[in-house]
Amino acid sequence: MSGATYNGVLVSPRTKSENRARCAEIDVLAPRQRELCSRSRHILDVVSSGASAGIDECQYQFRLRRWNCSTFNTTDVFGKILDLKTREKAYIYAVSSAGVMHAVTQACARGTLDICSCDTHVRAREPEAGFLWGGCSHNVNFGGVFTREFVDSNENRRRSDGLMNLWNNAAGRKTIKETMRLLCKCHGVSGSCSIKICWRTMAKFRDVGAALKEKFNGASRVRLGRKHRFQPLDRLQKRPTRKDLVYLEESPDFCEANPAHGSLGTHGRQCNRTSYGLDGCRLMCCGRGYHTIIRDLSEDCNCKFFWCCRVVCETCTRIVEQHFCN
Amino acid sequence: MAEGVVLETLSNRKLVYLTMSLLLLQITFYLIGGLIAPAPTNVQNILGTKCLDTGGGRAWTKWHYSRGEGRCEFVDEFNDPRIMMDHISTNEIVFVFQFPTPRGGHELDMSRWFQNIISVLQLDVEYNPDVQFDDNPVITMDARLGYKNKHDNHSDWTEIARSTEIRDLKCNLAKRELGQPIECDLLPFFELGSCHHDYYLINIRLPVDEKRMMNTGIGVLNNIYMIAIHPNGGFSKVWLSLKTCLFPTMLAVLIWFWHRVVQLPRPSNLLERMLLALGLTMAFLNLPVEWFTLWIYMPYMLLFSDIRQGIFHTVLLSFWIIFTGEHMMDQVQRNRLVLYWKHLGAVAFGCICLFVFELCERGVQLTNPFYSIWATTSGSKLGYAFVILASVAACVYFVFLCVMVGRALINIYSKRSLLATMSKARRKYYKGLIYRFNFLMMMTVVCAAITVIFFIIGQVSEGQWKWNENSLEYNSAFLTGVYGMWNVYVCCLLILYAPSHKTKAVITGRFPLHHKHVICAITLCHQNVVLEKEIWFR
Repeated sequence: MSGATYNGVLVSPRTKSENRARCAEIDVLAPRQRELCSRSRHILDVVSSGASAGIDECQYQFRLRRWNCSTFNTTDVFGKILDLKTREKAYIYAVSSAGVMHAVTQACARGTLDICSCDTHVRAREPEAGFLWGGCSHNVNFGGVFTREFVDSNENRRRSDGLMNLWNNAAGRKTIKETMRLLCKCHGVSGSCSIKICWRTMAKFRDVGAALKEKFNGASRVRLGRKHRFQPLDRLQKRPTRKDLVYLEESPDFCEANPAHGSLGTHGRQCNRTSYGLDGCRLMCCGRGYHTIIRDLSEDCNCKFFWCCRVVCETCTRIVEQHFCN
Repeated sequence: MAEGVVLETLSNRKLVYLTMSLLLLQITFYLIGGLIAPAPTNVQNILGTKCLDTGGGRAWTKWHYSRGEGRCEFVDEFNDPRIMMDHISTNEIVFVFQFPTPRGGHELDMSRWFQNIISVLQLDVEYNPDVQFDDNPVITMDARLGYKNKHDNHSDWTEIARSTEIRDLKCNLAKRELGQPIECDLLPFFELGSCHHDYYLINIRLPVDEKRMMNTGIGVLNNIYMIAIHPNGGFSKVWLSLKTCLFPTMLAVLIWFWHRVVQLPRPSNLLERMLLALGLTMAFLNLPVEWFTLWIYMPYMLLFSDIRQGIFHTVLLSFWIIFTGEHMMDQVQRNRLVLYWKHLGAVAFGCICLFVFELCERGVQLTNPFYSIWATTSGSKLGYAFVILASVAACVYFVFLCVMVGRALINIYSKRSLLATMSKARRKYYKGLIYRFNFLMMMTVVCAAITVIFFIIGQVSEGQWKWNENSLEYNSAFLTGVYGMWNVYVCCLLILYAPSHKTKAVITGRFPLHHKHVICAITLCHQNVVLEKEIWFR
């Protein structure tokens, strides 16, 4: 950040061309993404941190399911699961798009991202005058618009899976706005509430992930109807709203490893003997049964944590029963 | 009160014209707020940058800032490997808030039109079973506030205030699960009565001291958001122009009114003096002192405008009591302020309570902007005590007012039944009195009702905040509309209740009065008594 001056234009022409060169090196980017990338030197870090927050959240939310959002060390991260137009894919797209939007919005709030605009347009239009007269719009507006331009630019609107991804990306972004909390502060004569000032604040990403998980559970299966639009499979089913997740194919059961589906299977997964839910051994192990191992587990205990960065722990050993699928 | 007021002598046509034009004026006030002005306030949400102050300790030796040359080294998250590698300790972390944040590639600057800045903190706390989280957690902050202007160097920050603040955290521990966010109430942070500089900078440290249990029970604090709230420049401009127009108008009406009173052959009576006081406080409220803030550093503006409003409310409340009292028609000679001591006492008590509270909060903020009476438990108890006392006074006042209005209405009813039996002059006198009273009652009730209704709509609409920006700014319309309405109200009172020149001519011309009446009218003896006696003698 050495060359950039902060009183005036943040990105000088030289750094802009530097950025362009840097962004051109990344061959995964689509032309539109490359253009957006070259506009700021930080944007790529922000986008990638947002995307990885999305993956983390996906793994947290699906930790107790057969498909646990497993990732591979390849460019397409989630593996072949993305080849199927399933619920899981819908969640992945929604949570990634939400993750990027969350990260961009936060970066704007932090003031370290230089391209955040004053109004909802990605291109800046005299922010000073607008700011003086009526203040700038919420950062989340810019986050949303930017994410739409960046994440959606790779999708082909003419294909059914492209359309599905666009739908789910948008649903992910809408979820961020939906989960925002309203906070108010009273400001009046003598502490009265004659003037109440309210604003929206973005929920923690954990809450966004959880809200999307709810939508995953209630996702609608659709087919591509006339006029290139999604329609519910049968007439009795409710039309999906723009906030819902949609998918085109049913998921495999993820019981066995199947590289074609990106499924690792549940062999050797730890399960919960007493649970009747998806994390219970009955469902997790797909009826193959499980084996129990009793082991001494040594772990940190009686930890004393000192904000921000110091933890003092003791080590304790305890005997635990662990169950694993056959 | 022998002479009539303008209201009685005004022909119906003129009254309709006047009402219509005032109504139009009123609508204009709403439209100015709704169509021209932007939203009254702007809210900036700023995420604290975690600067590393290696080797700094707790002493405030230098400023830490996140943008510009010489900016600090910072981490995005506390799990950053640098923290572990360099053994960064708690006291070496500084939360930095530099605002306004840049937009569209430009560093924005605060304008003096923003008038004042209020700020609150929002803590991003996470639950972790291994981490101590007290039942009543208390957070200790070393906070420092500074400013810089456009042509200053990057590191030229000047200190406004520094303070060690202790705040009670009120959190809701619903889900006790690893990694679950804990919802905490907003913390009041600072209030600046003047937005005089271009850039502002906040540095916060959270010192940890195990021996004194300082900041050891606040859970996992990941981030701090600072919310800076200030009036919008556009709104201030509209508001100030409105005041600048209203001030001379009010002054002109006042001069006209007092000129009429002075012309009377008798000294002014209590009601007229009260009307004058009401007009003066309104004019004082309209006085556009805010212009000076564009050039002069006036940190006491928040306090000043609160006091101004307080004075106006006090006088308005007293005026209602006295107006009702003077129109009671119950053979009691009033016309003296002392007789209203009970009612005015309630008003004065309530207002003094609020004034003391105001001094405790905004007054102390003049020296320490971080001070908040609500920050600590004992302080907020004191704050509540003042507010409760003031509300009790307000309740007592309203009981008094309702009783007086009720009595006046009963008197009006009884007088109405007697009207037919009265002589023409007396009937005219009482009819005038009743008309005047009813007119003011109606106007007051309408104004109060409009204020309350719009206030409620405002509160509700704020609660259901919408995303799509509508073209009508409701909150601004409420503020300018209600402000304009009370101006119109006071103006209306001054014009309509000014002594009329016509009445006397009419009475003496058409209805020859008893000699005593004329003397009475001139010597200002209370005609009520005389008239009452005559009815009695019949």
